[in-house]
Amino acid sequence: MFIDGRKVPDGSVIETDIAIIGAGAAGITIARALKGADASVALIESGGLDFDPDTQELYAGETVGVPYTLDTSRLRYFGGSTNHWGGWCRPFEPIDFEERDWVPHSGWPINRADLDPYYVRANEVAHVGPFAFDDIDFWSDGGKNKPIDLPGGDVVTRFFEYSPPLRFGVTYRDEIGHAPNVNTYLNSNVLEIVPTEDASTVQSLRVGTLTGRRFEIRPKLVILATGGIENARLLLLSNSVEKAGLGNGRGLVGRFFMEHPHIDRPAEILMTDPDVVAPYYKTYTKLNGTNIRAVFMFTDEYLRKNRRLGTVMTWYQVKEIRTDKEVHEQDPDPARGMEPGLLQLIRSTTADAASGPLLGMRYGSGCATEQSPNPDSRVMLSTAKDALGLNQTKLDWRLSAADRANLRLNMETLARAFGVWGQGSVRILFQDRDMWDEAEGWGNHHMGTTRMATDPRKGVVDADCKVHGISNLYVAGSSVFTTSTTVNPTLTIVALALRLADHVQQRFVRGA
Amino acid sequence: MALSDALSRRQVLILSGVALAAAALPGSLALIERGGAAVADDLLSMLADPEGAARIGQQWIEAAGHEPDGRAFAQRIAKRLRAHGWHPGDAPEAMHAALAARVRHDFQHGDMVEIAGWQISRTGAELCALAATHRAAQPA
Repeated sequence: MFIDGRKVPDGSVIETDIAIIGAGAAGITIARALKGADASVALIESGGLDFDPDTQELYAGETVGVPYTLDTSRLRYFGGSTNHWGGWCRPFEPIDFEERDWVPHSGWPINRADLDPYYVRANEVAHVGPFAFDDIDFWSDGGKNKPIDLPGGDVVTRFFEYSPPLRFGVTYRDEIGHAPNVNTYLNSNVLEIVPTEDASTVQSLRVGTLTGRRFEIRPKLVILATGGIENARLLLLSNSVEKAGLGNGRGLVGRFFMEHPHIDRPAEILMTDPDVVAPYYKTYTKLNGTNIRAVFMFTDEYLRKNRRLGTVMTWYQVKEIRTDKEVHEQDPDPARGMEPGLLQLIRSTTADAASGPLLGMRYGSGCATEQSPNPDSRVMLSTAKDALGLNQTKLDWRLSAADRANLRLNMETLARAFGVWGQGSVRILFQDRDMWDEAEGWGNHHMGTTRMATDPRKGVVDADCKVHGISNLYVAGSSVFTTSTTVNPTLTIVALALRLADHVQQRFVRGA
Repeated sequence: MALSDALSRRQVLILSGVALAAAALPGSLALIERGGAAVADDLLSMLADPEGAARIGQQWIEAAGHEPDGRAFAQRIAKRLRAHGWHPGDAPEAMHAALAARVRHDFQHGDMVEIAGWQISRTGAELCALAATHRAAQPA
């Protein structure tokens, strides 16, 4: 049932087996997975069932690194940021989990195979469709669609599948509301996770509302699932026993904050034969009941051999280049005049001569790229306070010159691949310089602040997502990502949440 | 068929070269000059849009500060094409095949130049530069 925290009597003490803090993609997924289990569950959500500006304001904070909008990049009500996500889904690559000697602090304590069964289930949870992804035949539409086979083995076509995008808070509201063992406390903010005196076990959660109510939840086990920034903030705020924050004995909580830098138009592509470009490259395409989109990515072999970080590239059709007429375009770029000559140069050397007035097509692109883990890129506490009297977030997001150089080199690899293919040419617009431009965007993907590592000196949570040194505190969400990888995080958040739910269920059922 | 028709341009050049080897040095240089010009013409004949290529080439010459020396561009390209089995006087198809192979080779080995962001093979860029110098040499 849903319980409005503003109506819980002041000073109440609520006992429960499992407390889940946060009702976003991870929290709702775990609550659903625990539905019907022999354990009582309290799902605690800061917001209500709909957006409320006063609650959203609790996300306000300051940024001292790369300028970032803390309050609009996530949503604080039932369903969390799935209330505004875009639905992009793709599992991480096997290499993403590996320790790569050219990526400091890389190496998850789990691998892709550990997550595979959960990825299949995550597709179902997010209403994505069949777990087909890189099954080229599945998307071929009877043989009509073929991926571009760029030679060299460096650049490869991969596929995203799309969630509708599913609003978890809407779709699963009734199910959660009717789950007999799940009580959802709305408008209820966890103010502190309070451990025992030796900080080895969580014993209670201090909860408050914006209307001034205060009550306590006493769980046997806690799952913190408030998002990649807020997870770290709440641990840092939980400092009545551990002054540096709960689980922060080694100063790692909040560090290694990562995003996916997004670049609009890092490159343009000219191609002589638009017919070789399958529809799924150019936009969202519905095939076998699933919306998909093809992208370019870089193979594990290439990344390993060249010691690179990954990049994912989308592209779209922009303009025909013709000899018989000028297709109007409002673009003052003087380099546009080169395009007919360039296409004819390709046709004069490696591609077939034009048989008509159409010389080729120009495509635009966008990309997201991996950033390397950096301990100095971090979430901290600001001295400014929110309406609950809690320190706001202070974010110092840092991007390195090496991350930028990596993306530029990946673009050059793309250009080489097209050149060897011989039917296209790449223009790199992403400049070769040391500093990131402030205007370059991001994906609203917050990762790494409670990173996963077997060694407590290297991470906040272990391979089961349990906080090192605390017997009953777990973390769910992208804050546990050890590396940022290249693609959108939600599918992996859900997969990890399902895995954590299995673990918790086993622990309760079997008393493990 | 006349004897000259039966001989390929390559054969003519080789035979001429042999005949002139014993002759005075200035005469030999003159022949190489004529041969170079022929190679340049053959290379330019590969271009579907010489004017468009010339515009690209001019931009590269100016941006990179290259000497607008058409003969040098032609010789550099010819030298690379020889590595792909082409010889002066070969049929246009052979030149085209060698050119395609060389352009791909350039990309494969990262031998590219950047012109307004476009990543072009060095051979392609020099072909454009050749077109630019050729255009500049034409009477206005």
